[in-house]
Amino acid sequence: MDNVILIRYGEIHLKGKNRPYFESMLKKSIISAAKIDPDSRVSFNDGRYYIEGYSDKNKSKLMNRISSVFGVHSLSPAVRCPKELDAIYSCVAGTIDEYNIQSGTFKIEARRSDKRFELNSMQIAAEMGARVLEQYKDLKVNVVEPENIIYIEVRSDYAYVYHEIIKGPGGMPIGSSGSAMLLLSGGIDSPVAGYLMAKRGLSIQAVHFYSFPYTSERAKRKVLELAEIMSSYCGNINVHMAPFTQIQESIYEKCKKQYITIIMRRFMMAIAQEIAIKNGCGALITGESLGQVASQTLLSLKATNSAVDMLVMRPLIGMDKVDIMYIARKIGTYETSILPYEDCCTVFVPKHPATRPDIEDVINNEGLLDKEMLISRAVESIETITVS
Amino acid sequence: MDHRFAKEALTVSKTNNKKIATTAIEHTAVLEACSEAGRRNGHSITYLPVDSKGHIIIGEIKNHVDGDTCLTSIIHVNNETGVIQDIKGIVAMIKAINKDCIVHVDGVQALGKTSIDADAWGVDLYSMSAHKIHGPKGMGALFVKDTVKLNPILFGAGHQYGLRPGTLNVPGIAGFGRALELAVAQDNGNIQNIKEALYKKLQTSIDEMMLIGGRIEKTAPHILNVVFKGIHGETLLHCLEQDGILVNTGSACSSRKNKVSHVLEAIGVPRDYIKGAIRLSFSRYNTIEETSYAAEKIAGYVKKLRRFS
Repeated sequence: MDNVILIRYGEIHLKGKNRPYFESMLKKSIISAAKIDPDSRVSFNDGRYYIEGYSDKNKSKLMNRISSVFGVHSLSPAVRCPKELDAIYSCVAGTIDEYNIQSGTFKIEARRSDKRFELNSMQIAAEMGARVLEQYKDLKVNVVEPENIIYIEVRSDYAYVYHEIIKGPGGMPIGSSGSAMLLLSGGIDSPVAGYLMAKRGLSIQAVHFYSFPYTSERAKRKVLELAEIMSSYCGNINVHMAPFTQIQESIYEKCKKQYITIIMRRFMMAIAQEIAIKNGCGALITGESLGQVASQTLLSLKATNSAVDMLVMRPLIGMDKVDIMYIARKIGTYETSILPYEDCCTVFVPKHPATRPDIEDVINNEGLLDKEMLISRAVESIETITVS
Repeated sequence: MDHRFAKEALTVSKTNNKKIATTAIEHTAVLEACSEAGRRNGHSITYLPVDSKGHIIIGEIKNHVDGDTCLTSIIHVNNETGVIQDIKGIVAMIKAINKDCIVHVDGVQALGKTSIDADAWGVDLYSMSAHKIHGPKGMGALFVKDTVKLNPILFGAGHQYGLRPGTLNVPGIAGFGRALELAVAQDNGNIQNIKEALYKKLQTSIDEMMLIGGRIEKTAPHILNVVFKGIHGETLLHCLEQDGILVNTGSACSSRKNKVSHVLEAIGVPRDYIKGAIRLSFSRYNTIEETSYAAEKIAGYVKKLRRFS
């Protein structure tokens, strides 16, 4: 009898001929997560992953880590035994004792994928239920609304007995959908956007625009801290730090005040697109949410979007701020995001930003600048830091 | 010493007298303590105004202190501006109106920089901190006049007359003591000279700059506060720290909040100057040579940043 952690995937079931690819990507992610116990071994059999060989003291850390791996639907700490009724019952009793199920109602839920096993699922449940009632006088059966369920699976290789089913984040394994470039400011929204797209299988790189001396070194450090928190879900992140001071000052000097923010964002998107292409990314990701601020109205988003032709993913576009904040708290980025190291000094925030910009006017205004030179200078001066 | 100690200690004993007077230029430690007293015990708080140089208007005291005022708290040397209050005159006026009003003085920035005679001036409570005189952080002291009865805010084994129980931080106390010996012996005149040298250099190279606190020789030797028209102090701070010049600013350059110094607001610094405030601090470790370097850097950055006001 061995203790194992049993891991299930969800949406990967829907993948037809490509399923093996996704299964192997998920296995990679699980192996990487399981490294926190160097003795653990990960195997894949019959649509399930198993971790075994780990030490007891690492079990809860391991479970915690696996339960945030994208692609995992659920996991259960289980006992594995030979496919014999006595061995199976021994595991059932062991599970009842381990979870201290002393009284109340219970149900045995059994499944067998091995159709050659001597009893069918209902018979397994009935046999085990009877033995439990025999040994544990204070337990009663309730198949409709049991207080406790003991699960038994008789699979091709072994039988598994477990009690807990812990939900995973779902989604798709990191890297299985390709890679994308996230525009990472120090705010609440962009880390959440990165998290949600990583959950759909994108491996993430990030670009951050800093404007020394208008923004401080502390703002840069804050962004690296955010990337570090994200990396526990998204894997290693290359953060590309792009200097933006000259661009910001040029826009301020030459362009109409009400367009400053939109033109800045157009430059950011264009630079992000260049870096994305250079780094093999297939899309950009932003934390824009419709209507949240002046630069994110319908027309402003249209004006920003027209600066690039690459696919732009905006997972927060239909979300309310409170819902974004909820996710930020859940993934642990909120407290760092609200630290007061701003990414944009008030000098460059117009008093009356345009909320319904005329796109042609914006583009003409932008034309007063040597856009190509400014962008290529910024791209050449990028500093890349890998965060893990 | 924790200012709150003074506040909390008094609220229990003087429940009938519900007024507290303080100033518009106090350190937030005192302002927050007063607000908390208001929230918890219903004390009403009144704020003594200051003139354009940052001095408390002694003539105004009678409009803010009366027979019901149980406590007044006054900052001796303001941490942002270096302005030194006439504590003797202020205390005399308060006591003439209400001899039972307890007067607390925040002397954190005064210790070692200007003369203090709490006893002779009739001050009831005088707070001091070690870290402002190069002593260890986490150490403070409170002068308590013998006629003042304080209530404890911590309870335990009876240290310090039962008022602040807890095993004493002996190394901290020793460090505070030694720091005080050195502070009393330091040459404040020399520190003042360095401050004035820097200011003169700034004056010759930057226009539209205002000195805060009135005549420079009247403010504490270690604090120089200047405001520049048309820039953000925070941006200037970022520029200077890259060059090894560490200053403080009275405002936060934040796209979410527009925080400016409440002290500079109380003095009436104009809107187009107030965000461009920087505070420079001096100590016995500074040299005259450093003033040339600092002045050159500050002037250069101010000129540059003014293009984007």
